[in-house]
Amino acid sequence: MEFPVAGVTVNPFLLAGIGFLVGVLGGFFGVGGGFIAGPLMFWTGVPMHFVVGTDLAHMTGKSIVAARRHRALGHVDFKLGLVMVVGTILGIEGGAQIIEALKVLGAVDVAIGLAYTLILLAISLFTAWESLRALRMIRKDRLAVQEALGFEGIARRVHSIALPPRLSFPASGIVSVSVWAVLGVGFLTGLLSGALGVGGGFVRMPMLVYLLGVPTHIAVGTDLFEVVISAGFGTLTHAIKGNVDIIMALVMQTGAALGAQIGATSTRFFAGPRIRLFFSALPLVGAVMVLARLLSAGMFH
Amino acid sequence: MDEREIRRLIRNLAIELVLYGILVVAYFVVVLELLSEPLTRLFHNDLTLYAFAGLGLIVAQGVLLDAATSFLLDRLGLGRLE
Repeated sequence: MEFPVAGVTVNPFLLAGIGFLVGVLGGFFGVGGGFIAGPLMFWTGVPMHFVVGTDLAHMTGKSIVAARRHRALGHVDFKLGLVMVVGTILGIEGGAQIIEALKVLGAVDVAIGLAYTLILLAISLFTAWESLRALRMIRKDRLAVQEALGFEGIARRVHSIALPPRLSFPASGIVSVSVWAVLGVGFLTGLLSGALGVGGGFVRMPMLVYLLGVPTHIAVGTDLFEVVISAGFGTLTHAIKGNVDIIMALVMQTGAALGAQIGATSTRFFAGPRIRLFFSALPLVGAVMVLARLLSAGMFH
Repeated sequence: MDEREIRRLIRNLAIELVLYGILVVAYFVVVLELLSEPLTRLFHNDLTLYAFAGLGLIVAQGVLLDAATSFLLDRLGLGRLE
């Protein structure tokens, strides 16, 4: 099928298949899946700036459904989400401007591809390290105690930052924290979202837990609320800059909707750090795919 | 979950994939072919309108697909596993 906006011809079933795979993985591991969809789309021959914008568009629709379900469960801290989104939007615009500057320089594919590869490698290594550590802790039967002591310390230091103004977030159990810490988390993930076309959930969720001390289930729901806003804003700003092929995003979404349902249902049969250990291989596959595509297209010459 | 239930689950999942696949093919042929030309024209003439129309389509399709997949999963007994 020809996609005249992006100027490429790609099999729509391949795109729906990518959506399905990302949907299953997203539903199963609780992430948006942009870090897998991006490399796969790039691998099919979609130009990198269309990968970034179109992936954000497909993620918006997928996350709306998930966020609605979490809201019903009371897992969304709207106050925290709304404060954080200010930083997120500034970060997204910054990321989109970086793409525009790289387009002018003609280096968008190489620069974004390399940044993608490095971030994917970092996620893979961190997840492998964290899950192996958790497995060791489970064997010693002291996981809960170790996690509480280690991460409370970091969150306590962030909460003690004295920069005014300070706000409380009762839904997340935060008595008082500097607004700048919340905005900083939003800005960093927004920058990633705008520049790489990812929702940023795989970075924001751990940051909410480890840096701000938000309980995990609230962090997941609030993160999805953020993804809807950030990916929605990212879709608009990238579409206005001509980086989104809506038909391509709609095709991918057909597969993602079914995949997300199946992935979420499958979590019932698997659980624990072993899943996170399996998961750590996924970003590695994504990194190899981006590098292979860059090398095969001769982009380093 | 015993072996018989697992076999029933896999069978229902296969039925859902076939039904959903047929719906998706029909959707590609009818809706996307019809939308392709006007959206391409909009992309070249008015990017701002294209951006808002695109976001609207993505949101609407997200809600519709959620309803369709939930309905199929429920009818085939897969929804009860959640």
